[in-house]
Amino acid sequence: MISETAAKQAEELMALRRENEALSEQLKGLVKVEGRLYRYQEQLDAQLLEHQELYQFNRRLSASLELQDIFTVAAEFIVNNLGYERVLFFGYDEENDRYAVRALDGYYRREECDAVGSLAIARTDPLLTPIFSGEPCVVCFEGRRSPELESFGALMKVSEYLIYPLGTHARPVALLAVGNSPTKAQFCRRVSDSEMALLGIGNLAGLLSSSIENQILFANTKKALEQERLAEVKYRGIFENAIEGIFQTTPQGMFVSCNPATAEILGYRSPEEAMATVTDVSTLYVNPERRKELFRETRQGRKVKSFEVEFYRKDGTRCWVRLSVSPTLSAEGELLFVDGVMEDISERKEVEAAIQLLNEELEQRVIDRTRALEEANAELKQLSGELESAYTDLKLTHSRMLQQEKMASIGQLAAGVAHEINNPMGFIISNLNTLSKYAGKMAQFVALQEEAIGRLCREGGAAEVAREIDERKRGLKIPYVVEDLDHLIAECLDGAERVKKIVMELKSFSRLDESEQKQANLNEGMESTINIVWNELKFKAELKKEYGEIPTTLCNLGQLNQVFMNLLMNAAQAMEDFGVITVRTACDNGVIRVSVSDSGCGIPTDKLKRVFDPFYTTKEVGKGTGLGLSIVYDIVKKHNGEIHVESEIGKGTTFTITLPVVSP
Amino acid sequence: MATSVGVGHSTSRNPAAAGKEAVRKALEQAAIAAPDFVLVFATVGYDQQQLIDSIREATVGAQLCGCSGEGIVTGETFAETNFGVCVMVVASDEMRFEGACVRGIDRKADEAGARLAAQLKPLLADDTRACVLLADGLVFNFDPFLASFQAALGREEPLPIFGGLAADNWALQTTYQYFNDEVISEGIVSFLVSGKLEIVWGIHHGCVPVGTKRTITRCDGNIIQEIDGMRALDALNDYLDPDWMTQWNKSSLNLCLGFKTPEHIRQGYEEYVVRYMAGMNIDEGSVTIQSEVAEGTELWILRRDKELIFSGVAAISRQLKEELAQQKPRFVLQFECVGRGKVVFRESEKGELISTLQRELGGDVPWIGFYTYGEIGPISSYNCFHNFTSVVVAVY
Repeated sequence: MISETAAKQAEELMALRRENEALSEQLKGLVKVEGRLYRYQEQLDAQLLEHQELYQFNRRLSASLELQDIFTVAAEFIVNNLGYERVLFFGYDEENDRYAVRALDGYYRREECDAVGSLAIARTDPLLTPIFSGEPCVVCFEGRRSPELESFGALMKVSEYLIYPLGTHARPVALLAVGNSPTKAQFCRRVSDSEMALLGIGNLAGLLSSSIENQILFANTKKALEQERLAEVKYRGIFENAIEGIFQTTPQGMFVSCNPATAEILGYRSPEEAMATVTDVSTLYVNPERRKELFRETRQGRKVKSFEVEFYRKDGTRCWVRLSVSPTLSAEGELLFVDGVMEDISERKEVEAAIQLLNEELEQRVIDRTRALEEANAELKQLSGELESAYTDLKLTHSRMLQQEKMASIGQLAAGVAHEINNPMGFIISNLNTLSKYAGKMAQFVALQEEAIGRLCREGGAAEVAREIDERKRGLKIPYVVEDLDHLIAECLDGAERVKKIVMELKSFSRLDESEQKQANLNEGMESTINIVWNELKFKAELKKEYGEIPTTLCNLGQLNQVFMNLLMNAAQAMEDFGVITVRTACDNGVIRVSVSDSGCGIPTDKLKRVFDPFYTTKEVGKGTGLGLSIVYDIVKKHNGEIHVESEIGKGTTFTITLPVVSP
Repeated sequence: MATSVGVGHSTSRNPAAAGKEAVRKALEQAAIAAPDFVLVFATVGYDQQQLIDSIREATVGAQLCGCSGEGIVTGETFAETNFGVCVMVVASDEMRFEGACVRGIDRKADEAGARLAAQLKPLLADDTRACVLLADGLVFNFDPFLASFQAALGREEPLPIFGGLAADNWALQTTYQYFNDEVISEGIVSFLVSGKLEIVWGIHHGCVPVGTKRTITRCDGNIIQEIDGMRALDALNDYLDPDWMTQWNKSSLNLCLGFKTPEHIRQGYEEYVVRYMAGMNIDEGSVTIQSEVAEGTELWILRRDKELIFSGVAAISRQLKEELAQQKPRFVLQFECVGRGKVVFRESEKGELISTLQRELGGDVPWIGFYTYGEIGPISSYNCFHNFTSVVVAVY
């Protein structure tokens, strides 16, 4: 009994175990299913949310009528709802045949925003080939890359992206690009080419395409209506406000329409009155033949321009009009109506008559005037001769002024030279006086010796004679005379040499009038000039010479010496106390630079710009001609050079001359 | 002045705009111009430094603490998105919030505990009521941290610790912690809450066992190598999706491990303490959890139960309401496990779950929280680490 019960229990236990195992397996399956369920639920939730948001977005989109608004609304939706990090809208730029960025979102650093904002892609870029070949979009992601795709991605600052065409035409009006940067991609909607992944953005691109097409249609319609309205306003304005009469008539001569100007020309108060009164335009013609003439042309379908004709006004007076008409024919060639423009030329006709009269008067006046002019011309000739004479006088005066300046220079020069020559000449003359005295003494001594020798021969007494001679020799200081002779002669020779040198330098300096140009060294010219004017300088300033190595140049050295002299003399005269004059020469890049600086009183800025003007002087009246620096300027210009002046009050002035090196 | 608290949030993709918007809303709710303390939770889609810079710019001078989460929770939203930020601002002459930061915990949780305690100890006062802990969710190990932290603080009564582990939306690469101007990773940010205030809290997980008891037969620290003599992964394989090897973070959410709640905390808690399997090693067949275990420990495989979660939240509501005794909280902190978010609940269910809780405690109470990689909250005066749990802290 017990064993039976135990067996039964064991059997039940086994059954329970089997059931437990089966339940356990079922439970494992249920846990797995539950896990999957949660995942699908999460995906479905996300999809449901996306569809709800897409629906809301579509409603917002419908309310956006401007393309830019559509881009902005869509960009916001793509980033915030679809979850792509970055979005760009490229609008088609017809002028440059390219797509350029029109809107963007998801670029939160200014430098990125600036760089991407100016991005553009040519319509013909191979990157866009898939789109123009019918592909729904361009895709770049981990599983589909190429150097071109990556390169454009780098420009958009994304590593994975999609580009959709927007618009249904063969040439999309815009491109939509969405994508993610490498650092943020994992937190954004990933780009892939799977159907599921492209569903949301594909739907959006479709919605945007329709919306953009609608927008373009709306914009075009609006534009066309506006253009029509503007055209109507424009032509109505032209018709109503034109000065010319504009009209349309039937072949029978009735006005179909006419503007206020037509009515006014014909003397009616309004177009309505004109149209009601004039039932046949042929009655307007003063000469009915002219109407027939015109009608013949228009009936043939030919336009007529500038047809001048005389009309009757409402009050019976006449007026001249110029007609330009254009016929409109039916398909069968029948004249339907005539459009025309009339211009009131009555005044012109009156003026033409007046002009004819005037012309005749004018011809007579021309004859009279010609005669008067001939007389005046003779007087003018005489006046011209006088002017020429005055000009010659002026030239002569100018030449004299120059000569006067030259003479002033020479005067100064002569004073200096005289002083320089006077000094050696003084001691030469003094020495010659002494030599004359010495010569007298020597003659006396020689005479004494002759007389003593004769006496000796006659009378003897050599010792007495010798003593007497010796006594006289001492009395006449013959040994000293003999000794001093050499010294005096040497001194005279030195003096004579100095005079010779001065004369040579004077000769060199005096090449002033030579017009011939020769190769010369400006250092030598400057040195020679300094020697000439040294007497003027030495009491006024210490002279510093800083000569550089300069090549010879083709020049008129006499004229340049004049320049140097004027500058040196000016420098000396600028000194209020004993100062320093510095002369520098240098050559750089084929240009010789000569400067003369002084440590004098300086020239005020307002006077500085006038120093080269003729007759301008800062010196006291009578002390300067005012031509010195003007001559300097002319000479430098003649040598194709430049002269500049820099000055500072109390510190001094520097004149700098630059001359091109000219080879023979 | 007393205490002014406000919470604001933003889901703008632009980090600078999002930070400013969240602060603006928070300041508006608090009706203040400048706060003393700022708490920030944000998700990881943002450029984190740009985000914090914008918040700092709008809250000049205030101390800032916070971390990244998988989603944000406020009275107005519960957004599990890569782009969400919420900010709580406080200006008070009754409460103090004093923060500290530990950088480079480098899986040395015990050292980190001592370092944090060294910084916080001088700030402790008689009126210090709690410590809020926001740690890196990828490298933090709670048990050794707690041991050294509490030892270094040297308090007779443990200071209640609340908080959550920073998350990175399943990327499992980098989480962020915020401290004033700094954005760090592999760190801990913490602050003491002191002053004239009281704290009540509730904790519930809502998981149930599937199958019978199992035993850990080989383990090393927080790595479980064998269960019932089998490689741990083999023992779990029958419950996992076929793609678990490539989708571990999501697959492992459907299962969790339960350990019998220790006797000393069993009163006031559920039967099992739940652990999420944060990592696995295919070659070794092991799984990693976020606290340490010993060989011979009994375990149960658990699954989340929606009804239990709903009833658990209702229980928290009731409990807190009773403890608050009609007093309105100054603010509420919520640390919600990522496993209780959109991976299990539909959007509408989640909304119902959180709004029920918020409604019970007062719809206009400033409320801030985030979806975590692990929750921290005391059970029966013992600080504990949790998974698949909601930790709700009301400060009044």
